[in-house]
Formats: sequence, C-alpha cells, structure tokens
Amino acid sequence: MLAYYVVVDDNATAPDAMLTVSEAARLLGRSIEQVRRYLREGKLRGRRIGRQWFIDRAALGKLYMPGTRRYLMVREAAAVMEAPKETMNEEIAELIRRVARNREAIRRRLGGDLRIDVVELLRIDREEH
Amino acid sequence: MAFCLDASLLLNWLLPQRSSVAVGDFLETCLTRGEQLVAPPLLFAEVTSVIRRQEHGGALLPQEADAALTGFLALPVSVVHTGEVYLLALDFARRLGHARAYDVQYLAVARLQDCPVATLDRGLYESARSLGIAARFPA
Repeated sequence: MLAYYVVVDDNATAPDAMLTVSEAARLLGRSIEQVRRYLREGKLRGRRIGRQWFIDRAALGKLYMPGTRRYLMVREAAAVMEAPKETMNEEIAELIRRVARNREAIRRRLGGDLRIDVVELLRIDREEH
Repeated sequence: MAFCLDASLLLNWLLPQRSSVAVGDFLETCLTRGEQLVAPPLLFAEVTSVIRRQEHGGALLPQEADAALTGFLALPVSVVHTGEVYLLALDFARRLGHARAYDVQYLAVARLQDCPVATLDRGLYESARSLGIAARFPA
C-alpha cells in the first residue's frame, strides 16, 4: 500500500481572482509541471503563498494569440471556471444544454446511421497506443 | 461524493449514442449536485483522440468536433497527476496481468481518491471490481 498521495487540484484555497496551478494547467491544456515552469520563467504572472503558486486569471489568455481558435476555446472554458459561485449552477445548466444541442445536431445529420460507438473506439485507441 | 470518470462515459455523453439516456442522467445529476469529478490526465488525451478519430473518419464535422471538445473542456473535472497515480497504475497492471498501463490509471485515481470509478468499459469495470475498487456502470 502506498503511504501517501497528493490531490493536485485544490480550488478551496485559491483567492477569488486567482487560479491554482492545477486549474491553470487544465484550462491551458498543459501539465502541472509545465505551468510551474512558466511561472518560474516569468511567462505566466503569479505569486506564491506559502509553498503554493497562484496565477492571475487575466494572465492566462496571454499565452495564446487572441483570435485563434485555441485562444477562444481556452477563454470559453475559463469563463465557466471564472463564474461566481452563485452563477455556477446556471453555467452548468447551460453547458448541459450546449452539449445536448451539439449531440442532437450530429444525430440529425447522421439520421439513423449512428456510426459512433465510443466504447469500441476507445478500446481500439487503447490497444493501438 | 466523488467519482472518477473514464473517457468512455464522457464520450458517450458528448457524442450521440444508441443508448445514452442513463449516462446523461448519471453525469448531469453529478454536475448539478456539485459532485467532485476526478480523473487522470489520460482522460483529456483519450477524449481528444476519439473525437479526432471520428472527425478524421467523417462521422463528425470539424465544428461538431470543436463543440464536443469545448463542452468537455468546460466540465469541472479535477485532474489528479502525481507520481503515485503511475506507481499504482503499474502495480494494478501487474496484478491484472495487463501489458499496458493506460486504463488502469483511472483505477489508480479512484483508489487514491477513495471514490468509485464510473465507466462504460465493461473490462475496466470488471478490473475495478477484481481490485476491490467501487465501480459504476450507468448504462
């Protein structure tokens, strides 16, 4: 049995305007280690409280060129993260609706020909890599 | 309550499937109740890869793939990425006799977080059970 583990994502300790390293990593699609390196190299603006880094939310998008699709996707994901707690439920509800709309649009376009079997695709993907 | 979600479950929710009602009910209940959702970093690679595979094969249009991936990225999933995940995954793969240590990363996160793994992969579900890890198969 392993003696200990670390939960990387700890939202509870992040000040309102800041992100934890794990939150920033998720939004940027980077690893925790990469985000820490960005902080050390000054590519991301952040500050240390005790042993933990916090990242300025506003600094996050600056790693991407505004106007690119990736930038917009990151900003969209960040918008959910940045929502005040009281509006979080509405954000989640809107996310559920948005995913459902996309799913139904695909379903309509494909008609009855639902060629997507995600479990099978995933099994193939896992065996190939 | 927390759940470790695997890619099969989330992809089933993101993309139209022949029967995804139970998955939708399960996941959307978790989301609206604010349950903690956790996963290894592998989740992001697998979801992206399967979406791209569908786009490449012509089943998804680029804008549909973008919308599915964007929806996934907006989910409040906490990534658990520590050395312990991989050490435990290696241990689980050995115990299960697996030559690879990909999907066992979900089991490692579930064990470390002391929560059930939720999956539509029957093999992963059975592996979890054989290791004494709680598992949900919401289909």
